[in-house]
Formats: sequence, C-alpha cells, structure tokens
Amino acid sequence: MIVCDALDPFFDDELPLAAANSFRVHLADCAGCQHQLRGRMLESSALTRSGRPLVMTSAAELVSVGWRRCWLVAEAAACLAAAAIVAVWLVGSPPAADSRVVASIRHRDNHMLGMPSSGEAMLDDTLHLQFAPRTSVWVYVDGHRLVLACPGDQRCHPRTADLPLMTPGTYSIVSTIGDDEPTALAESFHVR
Amino acid sequence: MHEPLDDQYGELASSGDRVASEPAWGRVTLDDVRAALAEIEPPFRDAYMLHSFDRLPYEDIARRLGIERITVGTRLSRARKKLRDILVVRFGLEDRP
Repeated sequence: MIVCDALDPFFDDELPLAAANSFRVHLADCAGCQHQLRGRMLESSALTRSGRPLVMTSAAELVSVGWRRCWLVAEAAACLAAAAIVAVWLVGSPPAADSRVVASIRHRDNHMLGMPSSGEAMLDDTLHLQFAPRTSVWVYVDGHRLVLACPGDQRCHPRTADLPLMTPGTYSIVSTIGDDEPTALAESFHVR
Repeated sequence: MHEPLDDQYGELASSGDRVASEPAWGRVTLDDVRAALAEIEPPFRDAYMLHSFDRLPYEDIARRLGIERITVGTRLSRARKKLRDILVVRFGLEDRP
C-alpha cells in the first residue's frame, strides 16, 4: 500500500523509477498527498525568498495569458528541491487575470512566435518565460525531468527566463507564488 | 523510509500531522527558515541544510554524514516536520483547508 510518506523522496527525485511511477498514480487520487505536495512546493519557494516577506502580487500586476487553474502533482528534482511533474489535472478555468506566467517560443532566427498553436516547437528554439516578481517557476520534460527552476538557475532573471530547447519531449510549466496553489500552464507543448 | 524504531530522535510524525500543520508559507522567508533551523537538533538540521541549501542528493548526504541513505530520507522528513511546527507557531496556519 502506498502512503504519503513517499512524498518527500518522490519530490526530492530520490525514488526509483518504478516506485515513482506507482506513487504518481497514487498521487493523482490522494487528496492528502496532493496537499503535502503543495506544501513542499511552497516550502521550496520560501527557501528562495530572502529578505522581506513575499507580498502577494495583485492580479492586475500579473501577466495575463490563457492559463487554467490546475492542481499539480510533481516529483522534485535536485535543485530547488523540485523535480518532476507527475500529473496535472484541471479543476476549473478561472479568468486570465489569475495568470502569472507568459510563455513564448523564440526561433533560432530570434523570431518570437508566442506559444505555437500546433503545440509544437523545434529543437534549438528557445522557451521564453515572463512572470510576476517573486514567482517560482519550474519546467519539466515528459512529466518527470526538471530542466529549469526559477529562481536559482543562471538562466533565470527577476522576471524572465530563457530555456534553450535541447531535448525533444513534452514540456510542462508550473509556477507558484506565495500561498497560492501551484499552477500549471494548461497548454504544454512538444519539442521535436 | 523509516529509521529504526529505536532511533534516538523519535518517531516520524504521521502524514495527518503534516497536513494539519502547514505554515503560512507566503509569509515565510529564507531567513525565517534559517532561524527555525537553528532551533532543531543538529542531525536533522545538517541533513536539511545539505539537501535544501547545498542541494546534495541523498547518497552524497549519507556519505557526508556517515549514515545510511534511507536514514537521510527519514531525517529530512523529520526536519521538515520540526520546521513546520516552529513556523506554524511563528506564522500561523494557512487559511486553506
């Protein structure tokens, strides 16, 4: 029987693959584990928050894009204690004002595309992210591998980040701010 | 992921305890976490700092501290529980259920 004790090693990316896959399935239906996962993600955010306490950014300040509110189940990788997304499921569609991250694709020729309507990008394109101050952002490939964690990564800036797309796969973006629930960008995209 | 029952640092808190004691993370800063860490026992603090600040994997922490890898996981879980308890007292509980 799987219990939520596995959440920590799961989030820390320390579970063997088979165990991680099993826990991922469990996590999708376990409200208790989901709650704990959220706590771990917010804890990770607090660890990157120095100085004065985080003040929730008003919705009006947040960059707007077609986000949906999601519950995210993630397994963490090394840095920022984050790791890999396990499952994302939508529980509603709040207005765009709830958004906090804008993602766009920049081609090799520096031509900015926005998020491709086809849901696909090409290798060597760059994922460009804009986000509200003090937002934590994670990017995962294929639901299990963390490839970017902001803040902390050298590719992260106070309000932007650029991630060269060097690996084919399905990219997912997750963010959290303050006590807000971790939110996943509804439109993940594929890189081929 | 449990240390032996005779572990000198006590039993792991139940999952239910953890769910009930999430601090209001939005008001917690890195400095607050560091201050809270200073209040917990060195074995837990050391494991937590090596993992969360130095970003070492369990295996490296185990080697550094001279303990089993599985013990690292248990100490990290206990460290987090202790941190939560301290931060809840200091910052209160989250509003959300």
